[in-house]
Amino acid sequence: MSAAPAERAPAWLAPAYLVAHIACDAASFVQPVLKLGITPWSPQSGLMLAFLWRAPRSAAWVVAALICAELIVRGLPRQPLALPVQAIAVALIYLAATLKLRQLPLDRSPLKPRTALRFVLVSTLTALVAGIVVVGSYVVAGALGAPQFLGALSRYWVGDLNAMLMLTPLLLLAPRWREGLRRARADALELALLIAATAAAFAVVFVIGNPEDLRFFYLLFVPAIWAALRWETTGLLIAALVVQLGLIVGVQRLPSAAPLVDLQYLMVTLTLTGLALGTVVASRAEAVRLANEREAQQRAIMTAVPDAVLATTDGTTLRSLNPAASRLFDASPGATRSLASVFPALELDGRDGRALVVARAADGREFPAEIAWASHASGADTQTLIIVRDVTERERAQLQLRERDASLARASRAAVAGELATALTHELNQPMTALVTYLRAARILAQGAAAQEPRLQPTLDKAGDEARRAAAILQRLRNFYGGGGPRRERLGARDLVASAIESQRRTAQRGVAEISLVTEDALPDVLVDRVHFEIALFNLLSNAQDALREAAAPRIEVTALRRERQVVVRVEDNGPGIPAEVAGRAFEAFVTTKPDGMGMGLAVSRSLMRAQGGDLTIARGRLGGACFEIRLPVDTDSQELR
Amino acid sequence: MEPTAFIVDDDASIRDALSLLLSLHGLRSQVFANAEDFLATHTPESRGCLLTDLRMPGLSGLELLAVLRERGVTLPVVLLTAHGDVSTTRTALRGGAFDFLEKPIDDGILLDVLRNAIDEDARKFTARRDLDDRRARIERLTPREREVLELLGRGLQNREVAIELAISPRTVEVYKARMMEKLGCANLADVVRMSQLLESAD
Repeated sequence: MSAAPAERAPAWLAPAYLVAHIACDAASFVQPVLKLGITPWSPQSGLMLAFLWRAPRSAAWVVAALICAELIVRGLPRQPLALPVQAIAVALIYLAATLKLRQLPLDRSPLKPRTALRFVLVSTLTALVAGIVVVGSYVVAGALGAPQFLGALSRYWVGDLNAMLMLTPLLLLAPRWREGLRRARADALELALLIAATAAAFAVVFVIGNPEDLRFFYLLFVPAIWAALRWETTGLLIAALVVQLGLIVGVQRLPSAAPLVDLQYLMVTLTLTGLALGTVVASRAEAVRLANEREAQQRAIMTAVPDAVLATTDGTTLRSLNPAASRLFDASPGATRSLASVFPALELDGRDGRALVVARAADGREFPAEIAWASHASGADTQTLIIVRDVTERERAQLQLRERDASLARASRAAVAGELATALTHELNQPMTALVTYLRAARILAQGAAAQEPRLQPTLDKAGDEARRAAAILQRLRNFYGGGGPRRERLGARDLVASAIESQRRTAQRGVAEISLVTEDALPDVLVDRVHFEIALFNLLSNAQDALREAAAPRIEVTALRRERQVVVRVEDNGPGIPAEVAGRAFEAFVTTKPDGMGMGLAVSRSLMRAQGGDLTIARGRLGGACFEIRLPVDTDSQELR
Repeated sequence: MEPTAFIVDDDASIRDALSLLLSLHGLRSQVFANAEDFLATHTPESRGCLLTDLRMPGLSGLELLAVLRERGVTLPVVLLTAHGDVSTTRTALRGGAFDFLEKPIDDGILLDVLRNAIDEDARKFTARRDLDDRRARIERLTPREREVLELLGRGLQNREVAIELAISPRTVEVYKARMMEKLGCANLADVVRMSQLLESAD
């Protein structure tokens, strides 16, 4: 992943860099080794790194800057050909370092610990390699004696490293300097104090103390650490830069040649210490910010959830954690309740779990609650969170559904019994009529034999009375069941069909096929007895399910559409269909194709539908199986409206 | 032709029992398994009544009644039903059913109803035959005799008829005597009754 910026560097950047590079070299040409370009402070290294980071394709400008600076600041060397070679080598080393550094978000503030560490490592290595090449080339060229190699390398390395550590990140932050200034203005007073403290520290180091032994250098740590604590890595880098410039200026003004190299090593230490501190402060601040954010988020969640959230650390006393819990369980603010008083029958066993229990609210109301709990370590204790959901409404809805299903089942049984009574009356009344008539005829015939057997005629009379009594019983049976007519109401056809199918899905345990429902968009209202319609649809659907028991890809389709002044509800399946020998009598009572069937379903359904002005018939299906049509009368009032 | 009770019922036992019972009470009967069979054998000369079940395969009892009325058959129709259904009863009676019996049938009521129905049929038959006879007589009148019949029927005196027809009262007397003889009228009241028939015939 590359953290480097995607946008191109502006056109003025390269020439500006060139000028700045030469200026920096000139300004920092202090305490050189044998007038060579080896100084204990070379800000142009930081400049190079930052420039290549922004514009890695412009390495040629770096070569040009190195050559120009050498020529302008130190004049033509004794071996002119070595100069371009040296410049190209240094440019390439910096380019390689840049390519590595571009993977780090160096242009962000503050730096993260990992970024800072990698940056320090790459800079250290870059300064070392560049130093070996540059100093080595002087030795090879004979400009420098071999014994001086290590001393010169050390000076070169520390000079480059210091400049890179301080300058590169600050330069890369250039787009945000304006923002930084605004922030500095906000902290103006503290900054003034810091500047005063820094000035005081310099005064002690260079005026009171003996600069030769650097005894008071550690005082300069104070402003650096202050800056790191308050303004993180960026603050530290600025402070380090100020201290660095102050040191150079201070050393220049000293009469004797103070050992700037030694000071520079102290500077590196200061920068690294401050950088470490700054990143730690920054990541701590980030952690605190994240924790605050998470806490705020958690508080929002707690407020938003409709469930009550309770907590307990000792397993017996409960604390409300959110408004929902307070509303339900808190009699007064801050009051605690015992677990047993809220959940009389709950045992919190295990680290987590779920249960359906009775809960008692603060006002004494008891309600069915679905609870879930989970434990987590909280310091030395274990805290258990309990989430409570009031399921009163759900339970009530389920109860209503169960009652509805049960009443449908009752109505269905009653309808079957009624139809059975009607069918029985009709079927038995015929032979009963013949019997009564035969007995009357027999009585007349027996008149001739009355002399031989006087008991014959009274016996035939009694037989006739019994037959009539049986017929009367049948009649009463039919009247009893046939009494309740349909209770018709105006209902939306679509809802009616959909809820009947839903109800069937709920109660059918033996369903094999999924039921698909297709309806016209604007179905009118119908005028039907809901329960009677459901009985009829139930019968058709369960017949279809039975027929599909052996089917490979069972399918049931219910279609509802309007046909003139009726709504047609078509139920079809892809089963074997109705056998031809039964088709003509399918709606008669006691006609069935099922081994354990009574043959009442279709008879009942048809008479229920006809009783409310509808009908039930066999239709031609498209799926290859049975197809039935229920026709329901459209409510004429709603017809006008739609 | 002897009056007959025509029985239409899809149940063979009921047909058999009913015809047995009726024969024991001295009533001639003829049975049919369905309405279509009955319609195929029925002729206008058939006398008696029809006893038909309400619920049958094919034409139902009510439909059979409707077909008969459509053909102008006046045969009285008694319907048999398994259970008294108010709306069916009302439809049947409005459709011109003679009566209605519930199964199982009380034989006393059955015989009363059937005899009444047969009497009704006979009365209607006689009335119609009488009417036809009188119409035939009117047909035999000459135009003048018809005019005299019509004017007398309106309540005109002989003299007034003569003025109306511009003939002499004596000639009116002659026409009147000849007309009354042809129509078999004994007095003026008969003449008035016959003249009503004339008006309705126009």
